[in-house]
Amino acid sequence: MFRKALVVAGLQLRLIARDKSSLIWLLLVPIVFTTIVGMAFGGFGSSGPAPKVPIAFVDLDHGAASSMFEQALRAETALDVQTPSQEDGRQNLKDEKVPVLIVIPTGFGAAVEAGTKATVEVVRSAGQSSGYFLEQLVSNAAARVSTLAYAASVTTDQLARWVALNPAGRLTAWRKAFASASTTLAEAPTVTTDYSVLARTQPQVQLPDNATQSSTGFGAMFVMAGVLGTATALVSERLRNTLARIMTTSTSVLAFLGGKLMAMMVVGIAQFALFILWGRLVLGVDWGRDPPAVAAMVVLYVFAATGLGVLVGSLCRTMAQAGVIASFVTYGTSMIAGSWWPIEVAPPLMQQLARAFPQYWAINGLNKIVVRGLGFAAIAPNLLVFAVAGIAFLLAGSVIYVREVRS
Amino acid sequence: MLVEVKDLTKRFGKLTAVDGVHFRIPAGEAFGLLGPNGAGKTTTVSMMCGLVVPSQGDVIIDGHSILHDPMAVRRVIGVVPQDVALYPTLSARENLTFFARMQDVPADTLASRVDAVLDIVQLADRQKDRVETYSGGMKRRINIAVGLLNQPRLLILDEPTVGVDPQSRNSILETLKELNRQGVTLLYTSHYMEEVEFLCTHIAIIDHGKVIADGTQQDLRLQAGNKDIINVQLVREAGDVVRDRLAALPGVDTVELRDKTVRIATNQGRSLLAGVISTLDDAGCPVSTIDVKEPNLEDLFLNLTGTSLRD
Amino acid sequence: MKFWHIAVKDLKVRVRDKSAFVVLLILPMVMIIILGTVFNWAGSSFTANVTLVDLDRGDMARRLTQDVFGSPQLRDLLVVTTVSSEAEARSLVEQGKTGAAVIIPAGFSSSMPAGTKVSIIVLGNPETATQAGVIRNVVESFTAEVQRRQLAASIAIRTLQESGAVPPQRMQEAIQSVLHEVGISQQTEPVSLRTTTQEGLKVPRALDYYAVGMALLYLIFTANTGTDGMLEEKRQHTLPRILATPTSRVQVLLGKLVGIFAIAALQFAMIIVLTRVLYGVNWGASVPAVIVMATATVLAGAGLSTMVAALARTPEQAGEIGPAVALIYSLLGGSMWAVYNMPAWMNSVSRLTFTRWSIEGFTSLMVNGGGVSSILRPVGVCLAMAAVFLLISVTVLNRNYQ
Repeated sequence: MFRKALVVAGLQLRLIARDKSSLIWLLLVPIVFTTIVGMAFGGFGSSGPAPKVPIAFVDLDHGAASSMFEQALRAETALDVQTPSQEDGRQNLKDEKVPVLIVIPTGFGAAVEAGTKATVEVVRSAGQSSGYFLEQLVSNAAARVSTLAYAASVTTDQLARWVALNPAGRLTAWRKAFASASTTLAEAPTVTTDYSVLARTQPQVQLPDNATQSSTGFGAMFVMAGVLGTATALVSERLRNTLARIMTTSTSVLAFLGGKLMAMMVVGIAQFALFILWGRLVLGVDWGRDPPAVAAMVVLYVFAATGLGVLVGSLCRTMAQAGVIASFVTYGTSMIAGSWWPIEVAPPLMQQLARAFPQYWAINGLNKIVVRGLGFAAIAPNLLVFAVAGIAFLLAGSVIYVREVRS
Repeated sequence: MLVEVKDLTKRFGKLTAVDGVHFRIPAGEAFGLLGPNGAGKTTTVSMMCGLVVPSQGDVIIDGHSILHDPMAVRRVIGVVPQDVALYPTLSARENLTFFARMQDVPADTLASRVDAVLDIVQLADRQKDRVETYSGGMKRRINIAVGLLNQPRLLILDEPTVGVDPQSRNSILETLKELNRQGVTLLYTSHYMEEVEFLCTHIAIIDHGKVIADGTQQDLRLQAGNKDIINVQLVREAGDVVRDRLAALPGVDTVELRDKTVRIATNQGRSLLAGVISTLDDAGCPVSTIDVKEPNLEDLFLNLTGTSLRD
Repeated sequence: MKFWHIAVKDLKVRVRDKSAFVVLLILPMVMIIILGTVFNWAGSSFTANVTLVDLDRGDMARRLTQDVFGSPQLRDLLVVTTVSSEAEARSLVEQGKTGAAVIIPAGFSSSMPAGTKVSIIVLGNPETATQAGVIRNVVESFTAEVQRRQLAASIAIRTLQESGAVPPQRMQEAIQSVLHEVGISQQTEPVSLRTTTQEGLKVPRALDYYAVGMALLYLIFTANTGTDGMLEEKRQHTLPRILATPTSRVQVLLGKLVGIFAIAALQFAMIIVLTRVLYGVNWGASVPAVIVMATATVLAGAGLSTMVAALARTPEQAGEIGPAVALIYSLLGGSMWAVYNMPAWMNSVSRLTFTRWSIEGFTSLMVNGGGVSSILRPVGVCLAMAAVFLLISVTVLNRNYQ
């Protein structure tokens, strides 16, 4: 029986290998997709500094405060601060050459010095935006100027309690305090937040960057897609009557199913292995210090997915149905399970629901290994979930399929 | 002439599937296109109904060129493809109604046309059942019925009996013969000689994309060598004397004698039998078995190509 | 009008396959409900778990633990658990049981007037990057605020000391006055930003945006199943049979397109109504404009599926090209990530997809509430793309039958 199953598996794999388009979609598309997402939303994990984002800075005020603002912007390594004329700046924005234009209006310095509210104009391009990240940097600069201006205002207020200050004297005192605060702050900030991420073996690891996030999340999703796609062969064999023909030979349904199962496992494991290699070599994803644990995750996850595949393949009657259900199961449940966005942003109910899908346990387990640097002991529950789910799916699917074939 | 096929050629890359095919079909005729599988029959038919554009040549049907006015051609033809081309989940009536609309059958006569073709193929009682529940022969009959919807002047049938049981096949052939009697011109392609012989008055034999013989059944028989063959198996070996006596019989062309076997070529097979038997008896060589073989298209094909039609 | 009969026949065939029909209409509804739930709740119910260790127990520490963490804005966002030792907090983070630990070191409050260097420690859980990020931001803005007041105090005191304006015996009084002012200041950030968008673009609510995105995603998936109908015709040999009748290829393709269109439009309409009723998604003020935009969109989707059907030679191929096309379309077209967050290159590439234009059209209706005239451009682009898809399909079909 095992040899028969091997023959069935070999045939299925040969059919896949013959079909160029299916190879492309099984192997190439996931890699391209993940790379694009990794690039688009984060840059590579380890391939050097990201390119600087150009921003246009137009200073119509030319005072101490505005030059401090510019200085604060220039201190941000991620920014390439350009100083065009106001017209050029607006044109560049319109032409989408810069995503953001910052205008310091006339009277900005005077307002700051008077201790009243001063406003900086930030104009975003309608077409594109680097969004939150850029705004954060600009508001950091504004906060810095605020800090200095506040210190100068407090100083001038207090000084005025002891000496009479005419407007000119007040201004001189303000500017002096502003300069002094600027020097002090630059030399030694006193109150800070010391932020670090805890991971056992890699104490200094950064938060998972987008390449890592997309490698584990999309890895789980595309492997599900590959396995379920292969599972549709269970439907097509039935429709094409090749199954009936195989059943007239001395091959049992179980040997046939076993063969299909092996083929699905091979496809899934090969896909995941390629994914891991690609992540490691090209995207610079660190897959942790415990390769055997990663391997165990991959094999058992693929097993669970295969079980699900047999179930889907046994329930569908037409290829169209199989295609739709495979798509929904793949992409829909992957969304819920956290392939697309971190599961923590979903509502609590959804976070609980996510646990119903193998992808959740795959992402969760891989993150334990990759992000936290943990090993076998930590992922034992995940492995158990895969094994139990895989066996349950497989049993249910086989029973339905065998009944279907015999009727 | 209802149909004129002129120098029709189709090349797929280096392969020439149809090579300068030329034939004419007068109105009312049952025309057979006989040839082995892969001879180019289906490609020829596909070009005649405008599914495949010829590399060279043209087809004129009822005065319309398939190259210049394919729609006019399609309006006067009915096509029965080699494969059953029906929607399995629709009923026979739904299939027929749909294709009738595709065939521009006017709305006011549509229902009566569908009834009429259902009667012709004798499936009126099953018209509301889904086609997927039909037997193979019934599907074939509906497949033919679709081709009759627009009362075509020319009905093109591409191997309509492939995979059909003998009983259904006879019923289909009788139906077609009746249609022909009513004036429908038929173009019937097949690799079954008997079907073509039964149905068709004119026949073109096609092989490797070329028409290698063309004419009425009688014409082709003559081409096949014009001779009946009388084969005689003798009880014992005969000598040259026997051969000479046989050769002297009136109407005998040639006599070959080898051991106990005699092969006589003649123009008048059956009428000569009695004479042959008595001659042999007289010569002391009693007959063990005797048969007459009249020349058929199979022999013609064999003569022309050196291969059998069925292979 | 023959294309009409083809479309009706297609629908009949589709409806006969009851289970597929259910899959087409019921499954998307289920998915919309699940995702709608996620996005409906994402804004309000996101919580970050903070583990707090207060080793200072001073006045400044209380400002963070009570005034900041307990502020009306943050009260519902942060779930604070207090533990007594840094080691305990560290272990909770390591076990992944909290979003981040915040450790206020001993002497944090007393270092304030002294101006000595001091840091609040935040330990993030790498698995819950979003929670860790939120907590980090909260603590950072607190330390920035403290820094601001601390700096103001130290500059003011130094200036008063150096200016000689304060008699030495009243210096203590002056210092108290400075500390009092920095203690009670309400407004410490005089510089503020006013962010506008060049063309006055307003952004719709996330829920509204994703309602459009998901509707488009399902449209593409549904259109893909329509592709299968065309391949079925090839497999059943009925396509050449139709082509052998006096029916032009354009009629055949139009018929297919209308058939797919009808099903996809039904689905699209259901999604619009359902999201409106269940989640109050605002699809815009002008009903005709929404209908026009939806019609153009569904037409483009049906055209895409017709083209995939014409290009694919086997159902298996279509089964693989289909989802891939869907994925590329939704990835680039803005169904999954808001177009506002796309990097420049992707933003440009996405304009090649009709989904992108459709999203622009719908979101413009959502935020601007305009009428049909306000969406002529996206509608035009969608229709043009539908025409291009159809043209390619006709060309491919012609080539395949020669």
